[in-house]
Amino acid sequence: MSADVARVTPRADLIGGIGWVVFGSAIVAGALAMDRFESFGATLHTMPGLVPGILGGVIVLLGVLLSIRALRAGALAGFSAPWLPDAKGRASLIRASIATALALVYTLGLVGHVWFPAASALFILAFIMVFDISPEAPRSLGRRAAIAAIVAIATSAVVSLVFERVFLVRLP
Amino acid sequence: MFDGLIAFGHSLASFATLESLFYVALSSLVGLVIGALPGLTATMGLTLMTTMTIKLPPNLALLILICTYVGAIYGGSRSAILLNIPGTPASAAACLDGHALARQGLAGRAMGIATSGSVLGTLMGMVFLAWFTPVLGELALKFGAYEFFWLALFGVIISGTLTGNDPLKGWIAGIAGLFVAGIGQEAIYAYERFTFGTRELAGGIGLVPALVGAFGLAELLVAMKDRQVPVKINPFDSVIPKFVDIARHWRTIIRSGLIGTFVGIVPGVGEDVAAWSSYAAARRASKEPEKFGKGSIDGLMAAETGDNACVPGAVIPVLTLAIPGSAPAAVLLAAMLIHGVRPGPLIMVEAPQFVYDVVAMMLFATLGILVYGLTLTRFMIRVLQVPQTIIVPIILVLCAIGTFALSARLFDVWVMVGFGLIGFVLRSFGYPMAPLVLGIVLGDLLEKNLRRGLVLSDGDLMPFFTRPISAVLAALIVLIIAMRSEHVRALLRRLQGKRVHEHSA
Repeated sequence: MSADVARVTPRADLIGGIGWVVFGSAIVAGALAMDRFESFGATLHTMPGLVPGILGGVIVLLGVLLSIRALRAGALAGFSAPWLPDAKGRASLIRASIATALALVYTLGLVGHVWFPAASALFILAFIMVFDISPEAPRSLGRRAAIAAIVAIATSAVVSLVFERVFLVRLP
Repeated sequence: MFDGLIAFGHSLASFATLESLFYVALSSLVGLVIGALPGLTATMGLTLMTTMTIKLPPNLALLILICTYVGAIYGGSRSAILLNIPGTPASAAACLDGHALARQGLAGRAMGIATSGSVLGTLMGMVFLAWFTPVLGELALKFGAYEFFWLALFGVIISGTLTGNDPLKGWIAGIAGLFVAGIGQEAIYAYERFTFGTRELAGGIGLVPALVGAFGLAELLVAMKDRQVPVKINPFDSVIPKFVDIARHWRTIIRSGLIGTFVGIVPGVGEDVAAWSSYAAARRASKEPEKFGKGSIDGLMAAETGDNACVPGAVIPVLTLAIPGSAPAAVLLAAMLIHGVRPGPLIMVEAPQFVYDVVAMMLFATLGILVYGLTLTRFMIRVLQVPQTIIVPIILVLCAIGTFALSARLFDVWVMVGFGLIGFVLRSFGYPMAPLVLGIVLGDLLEKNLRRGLVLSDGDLMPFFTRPISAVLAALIVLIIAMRSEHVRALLRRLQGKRVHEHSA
């Protein structure tokens, strides 16, 4: 997918590199703090912390390499550049943030706490209402609400029925 | 040879029931739709379908997954040709010539070429799947702990190198995936690692919830970043493949089928690499390379044959080594393990019939894409016109309920959300997802075999480097990493320059 080849600034890579160094160091520290089971006759190569420790160390190393590469590419000079993206980037960020917020409210706040078909219908309704239905010609609020309500009710009913009656899954 | 054919006949007969055919029809269509919709990939389709088929018998569940996989890889060509947007990363190469043909009013012919290339590619891969799996299975019996350790690492490193556009970030994602796989109780002392006292984490991070998050939720959030462009479809001609297009390009079909299958067998390298490699090879071999990118039938045929041949190719190491050949194959491997199928070197000893069952599944999947490829043109155009803002919340609901359905735990839904957010952030910063997935799937194999190898050798590292297959794999890993180093490349360039200079002197 196209996002897999996203363009990233050296500044973002430097921050990412430092993040990986911190993350890898935390793993190494966690691995070193693990029980070594020496009383059980464990040797270095059977200790539980061996593999996480090695992987943490490799993450630190790769994080350092990423940081060095970013520094060479002028990451420090880039710190004076604006931190907020341009208008197009901001619009993207807002859309993604709204989608994330709705997804979080649904999965963490509604699923498991509210009757599943109702939670799903509510989520789908809100999602469609918040974003434009048609990119070509945004419809009137009433028409948009009608389409959103039909899609929300139909989807939640079909999904709930299929999972409960066909797949025999207890709904959350 | 005849035993294999008889076993294959049995497999075909076992799937020739109304129930199986219904699932073939349904899952090929689901795959086609998921593949065609920009932003939704084959890996995501497979993770979603894994959660929905959990209660089905293993053979039916895997039949559905394979039909979805083949359908999705083929489906990506529809949006590539009609919209110039690859439905899956595998169809990016098909955009170049497919859409150029569409702009010339030949979208129907382009779709016909994509159908014939995909069908023939899958069939070629299928033949190799039936042929190579017993051979590779035999070879795999020679693999011990040392070889499996290197193979798991090789999968992550090669996937990190070739998927995405930044190997360093690919490796980081892969190693992070390996770490994630180690969370929870470890195998020797049942010691809880990085669980922070959480009971639910003691059993480890659920593979499927993590995959649904990293590929499902994360993809949906990425898809929502950009406002959907209005869909404009050019008028097009018949989608029935022309015999002349197949007959004239038989060399390209065979070459791309071979390349696609081989790329599929290489652990961790997926359909997108297969499509680009086939495309590049076709361009090099073509008498009209200047037509590539401007509506070359050869180019489109190569890309579409290559990526679909990669699907059965990627299943070969899944069956023989329990190492996935691509990101969707990693999900397939996870699904096999969930359903109690034990792929690996012993598969030809323990369950030889299962191998032929998978070959038969590929054949049914091929029939599925052929039938839909010839008939569903108008329907697919309607699908492409459905607004993203309607599709995304529906799939998100499926991600949530599908993850919950695995073991009726809300914790799995939280894992899915967590990995979705991590996946979204990582994608935004240019980290590819395929190595992360490979890492999560292969982490357990890597750790168990490293520790097993060290116990067997009493802590001596030498067997990791002196056994022949181990030595080759270790050397390959070093070579792959070294070739990405600027210093090594500069050295090679200098050496090459020196040789040319000596020759000219």
